[in-house]
This record gives sequence, C-alpha cells and structure tokens, in this order.
Amino acid sequence: MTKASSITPSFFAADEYAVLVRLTDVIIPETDTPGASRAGVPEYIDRVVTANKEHQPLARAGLAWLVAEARSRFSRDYVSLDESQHAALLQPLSDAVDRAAREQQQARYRSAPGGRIYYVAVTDAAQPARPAVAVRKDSSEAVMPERFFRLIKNLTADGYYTSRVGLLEELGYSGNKYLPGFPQCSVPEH
Amino acid sequence: MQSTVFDAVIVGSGAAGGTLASHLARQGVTVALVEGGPRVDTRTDFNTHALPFEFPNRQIPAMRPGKPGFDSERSRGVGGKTMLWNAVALRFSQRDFKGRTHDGAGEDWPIDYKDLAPYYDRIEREVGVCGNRDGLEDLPDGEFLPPVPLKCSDEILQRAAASVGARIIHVRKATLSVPMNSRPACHFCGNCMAGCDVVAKYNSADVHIVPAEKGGRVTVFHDSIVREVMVSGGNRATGVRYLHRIHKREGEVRGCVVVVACACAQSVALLLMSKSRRYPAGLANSSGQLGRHFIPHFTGGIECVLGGLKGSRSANDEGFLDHAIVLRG
Repeated sequence: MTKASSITPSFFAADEYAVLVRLTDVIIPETDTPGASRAGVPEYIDRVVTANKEHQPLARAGLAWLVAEARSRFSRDYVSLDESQHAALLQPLSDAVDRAAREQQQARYRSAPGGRIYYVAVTDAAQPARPAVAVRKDSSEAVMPERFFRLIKNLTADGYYTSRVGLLEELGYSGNKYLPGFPQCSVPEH
Repeated sequence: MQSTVFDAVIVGSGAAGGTLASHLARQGVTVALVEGGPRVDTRTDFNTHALPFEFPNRQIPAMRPGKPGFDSERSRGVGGKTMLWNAVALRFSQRDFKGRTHDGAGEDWPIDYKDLAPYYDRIEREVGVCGNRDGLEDLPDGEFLPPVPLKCSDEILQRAAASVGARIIHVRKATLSVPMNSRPACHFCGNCMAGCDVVAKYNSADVHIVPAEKGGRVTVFHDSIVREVMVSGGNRATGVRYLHRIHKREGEVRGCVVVVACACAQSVALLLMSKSRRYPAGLANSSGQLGRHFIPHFTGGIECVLGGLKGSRSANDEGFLDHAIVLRG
C-alpha cells in the first residue's frame, strides 16, 4: 500500500505497525501533499519508540486499545474502519489533547494590554532547544488512550514536519539560504 | 617537544587565549596554546546548511561526528566558545566599571573606560564589529562596520517602545556586514550559534590562531585537557600538565609564563586543582574566595506574538539572529 508499511519495524510487531500506519494517516491524511505514512512518519515513530523505553508500554497499550475498540464498537479491524468511524473513535481523544494543550498555553501566556502584543511569556533562554525526539510531558491524570493519542499525535507532527515532504513540500521551507543581502522589512504599515 | 620551553603557555584558545596568542606572536613571543578540545574546520564541521531529515532522529547536531565536548554552552575545541557564540560585542561603559559607586554592589574596577577604550578600538578594527553609532553614554560607540537592518518585528517594537520613551537600537555584533580582510560578509543564512561556515562571524581559530600558527611562533596542543599549573621551588609557574583526550596519556608543556584563559568556571577549576604543599588551597586563592560568589552569564527572555504581522507573508529574516537591542527605559 505505502512505502512505510513495507519496511520492517524494529519495535512494533507487523500487526501493530499496520495500525500505526493507518493511525498516522488519519492524523495527517494525503491531500494535495502526501500523508504521514508516505512522509515516513511511521518509521520515525518506530525509531523514537525503540530508542525511548518509557514510550513503549504506552504505545503498545494504545494500539491494542484501538484494535479492541474497533472490534467492540464497529465489529471491524481497525485498519478497515471508514472515516466516520475513525472520527468517532479519535475525535474525543483529539479534543481532550487539544483542550489540555490550550490550558497549558493559557497558563503560560497572559494577554497584554494594548492588543498588539497578545501573549507575553518569560522563558529561560539558557534552556537548550528540545530535540525532536523528546516528547512533551504527559499529565499523569490523563487516561491511557488520551496519553497515547497525545504521544502519537505529537510524534506524527514532529515526524511529518521534519521530513522532506512536510518541511519542503507542505511548509515550503527551503532551509538556510545564502542571501545576497538582508531582506528589509517589506510588510506594509501595520 | 617535551624539552621545549615556550615564552608563554596559554590554557584555552577562545576569545581571550586565541587573541592573546596572536598578539604575542606578532611581538616575537613563542606561544604554546593548550586546548582541551579538537580542531574545528569551520567549512565542514558545522551543520549550518543541513536539514533535519538528513539525520535519522531528525535533530540537526551542532557539529559533525567526532567532535565531542563541543556544545553550545561551554565549548571545548580550538576557538573555544567563539565558534558557537552569538557574537554580540558590546563595550563596557564608565558606569559598568564603577558598579559600587553607582549601585552599591560589587567593587569598582581599578581602571576607567578611557583606559580600555583604545583597546576596544583596536580589537574592533581587527575582528570587525557591525553596529550603529547611537551616542549612548552607557553603551559607548565603537569602530563599527555598517549596521544590519532591523527586522519587521524590531521596527514594530521600535515604534511601540518610542511611544513609551524607550529606545531600540541595532545590535552590535562581531559579524561582518561588509567583506573584510578576505572574510566575506554575513549571508544571513540562519542561526549564528550553530556555527558560521564562512567566518563572517568572528572566531578566534580562523581569525587569530591559524594565521599565527602559519607564522611559526604559535604551537597548538589540541585535545589536551590541562589539569594542573606547575609551580617551581622558586615560586614561579613553569608550565602545565595535561591529559590527552584521545591518547589517554599525560603530558607537560613548559613555559616562562602561564596564562589561564579557559572560560570562567574552568579557569577557576584549574587554579583550584593546582594544589601543592605551598598552595594547599590552589593557586591564586590565598583569600579562600576563589570560585565563590560565582555569577554566570545571566540569560532570560521574553516571548511575544506581534498581532501586526498576523497574516503577512513569511519572510526569511531569521538569519543573523538578534538585530536589535532593547534599552532599559
């Protein structure tokens, strides 16, 4: 089906990997640009989970949970669910993850008077940039499927937007360029 | 080599050690430059123009493989932190030298701004510092190359700051805005602290050390981590003892003068480790204060979203990093 499903994963079993491939393509589907699996996201996730033992039980439990839910709610294999069934299964998880992220951001930022500067946050510039393989801390209260979905959604976004497809084709980023001069501000009066 | 006695042994090859080695060599002094890290090739060792998918875990490493200990915070490598610094190069002002008089804290320096100003002039002409002459008492002007234009975000902030009586000025960086001494001008590619592959940004290895080595008076001992300054019975420093990072063996470099210039914490650590019967608490520590009251480079940040730029086309204007300095109102 895709290039991604033809490789041999090092952590995931073949049936787990097929579920993972499908899941990442639901998160970032193929549109006019390739979806997650064609961007190599499942290989990336397999690599990260292989290297980070702390993700392994969650990744395994979450994939098993998806398979069991698909069976009990729709009497189907996860990989053959249709779009509305995927949405029914994942939308509540996605909403919960987004809500938690928003709350976290609101705690971090505050509105500034004047309207032009929306958010101000004090950061520690001495902190080194987070490597792409690091995954955001989970709040321990979140239930397993939510924590699992957050892990995979974050890894999918990380993997997609650090891939050639995501970075170059979709975002139109072209890397560090040699510029003949500094492009002065060309935005009309704000 | 073991029997050679150099005129000067300098520990550390960064902004201080590298510059000093070069200037001493010009005066005919023979110098041993002892550096704990590897040599760095600016053209090939940095990953400035790499993309994340070229690496299996999608993280662009600061350096090519085989350059351990060379990270962005405390760098070991020929050139020291200048290889990965941001290059902001500000002068101290008279007020900075007289902190106790003005703020009641610390101690006043025994020198004044005017004592140091000629040396600022000299090093700025030598390494190239871009900036605008703003005429500020607390941020004295220097021998500047033309400033680099402000970013859109800086211009927005500048107008906002002006409305509350604050100033935002061009940054002053030891990065060339025009070509100089066979070094090209900045090409605004990206993060200066990931290394500058064309040496538009000053680093002591390419600008000071390598030319001095070619002159024959500077000998670089790289990968040699100094662990002790040796002191003679006559109470003179006679050289240094090091451990070779790769070969795992000890060595000595002897000289008439020893200069400790290996970053703030490591310099102090070296002096504290240089214990002898005469100096049981380490060298230069008769007060017992060495290494106490340590204040590192203090950093912090404010992050904001500028609504005025919302919806505007994305621009490739992150190269060169900082473009502006916000002055305290």
